[in-house]
Amino acid sequence: MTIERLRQILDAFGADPARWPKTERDGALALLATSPEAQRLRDEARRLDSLLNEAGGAIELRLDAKALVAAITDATANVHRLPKSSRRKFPLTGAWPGFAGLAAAAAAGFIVGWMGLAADYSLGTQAEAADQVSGFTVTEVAPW
Amino acid sequence: MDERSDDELMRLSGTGDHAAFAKLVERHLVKAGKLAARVVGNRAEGEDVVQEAFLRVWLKAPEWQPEAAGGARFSTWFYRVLMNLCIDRTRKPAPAPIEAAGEIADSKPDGLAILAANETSRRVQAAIAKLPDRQRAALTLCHFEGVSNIEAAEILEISLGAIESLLVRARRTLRENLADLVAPMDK
Repeated sequence: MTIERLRQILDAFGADPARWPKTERDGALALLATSPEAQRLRDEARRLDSLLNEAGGAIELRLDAKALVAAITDATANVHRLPKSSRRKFPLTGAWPGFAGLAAAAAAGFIVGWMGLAADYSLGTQAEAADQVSGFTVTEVAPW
Repeated sequence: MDERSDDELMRLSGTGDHAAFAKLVERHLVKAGKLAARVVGNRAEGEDVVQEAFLRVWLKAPEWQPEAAGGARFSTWFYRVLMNLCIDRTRKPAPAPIEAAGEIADSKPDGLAILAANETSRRVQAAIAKLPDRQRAALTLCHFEGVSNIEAAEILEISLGAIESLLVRARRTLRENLADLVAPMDK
């Protein structure tokens, strides 16, 4: 163990030998027992440790385990009852009905709109159809 | 005290056992919450990240491979997920929660800054918050949560040398930025 290696260990892991790499702990302690420079480095690391510990303090979490579990299991109610292949493809199965409904509604809207447009074309002129679909500009006769 | 292993609780969770999942959450919630709050630098956002991490646990449970069968150790996998979520969170602005709509924005970090009861603690917290994400993550794991360097390296998916390097850079930066506080009292 050299002073430089000890400095590296102290800089990485602090002054507590329990946090040092096991394979180097004995060598580091032996050096500390005899070297004033090693002891100075350890004291410096110890002061930084103290600052960190003081500043770390206690963190008071507001998370409630029961509420968290309930929220997760409720939101994913079906996930563990589906075949594995489905789970892998749609991991948020419990949340998918909403998205699926939205997608279905969008698709239905598109089809209805498309059918309406087609019907309009079957009944009248291009200009009439354009009037029916406000916000869109029809520039050529549709092929259908 | 429940002696069942994390692996066993994951297996049971995978069958839809809410009690087993609750036990797993209970076992890791506090540590995960503190870890996330420190890495993200904000208690409320840390809690959001923890919730997302536990959601992933629940979704992963049905296909969990226990360590004995060649899978990952649960704690290593879980804290890896958590740390990645934390680092992701620190790299992008968090969406405002719907509850915050209409409220006046508070620019102060809510959790840790408030808990830092004095000027010294406030300065140290600020110095930690300024560290690069992965240095802060390494320091949080190894110093504050007492995770071994070996497990910290596994969690952050880096080598032992790399975790040591992150820690050295983190602590040296802190020492430089807090030089007046680190200096010996008798000088």
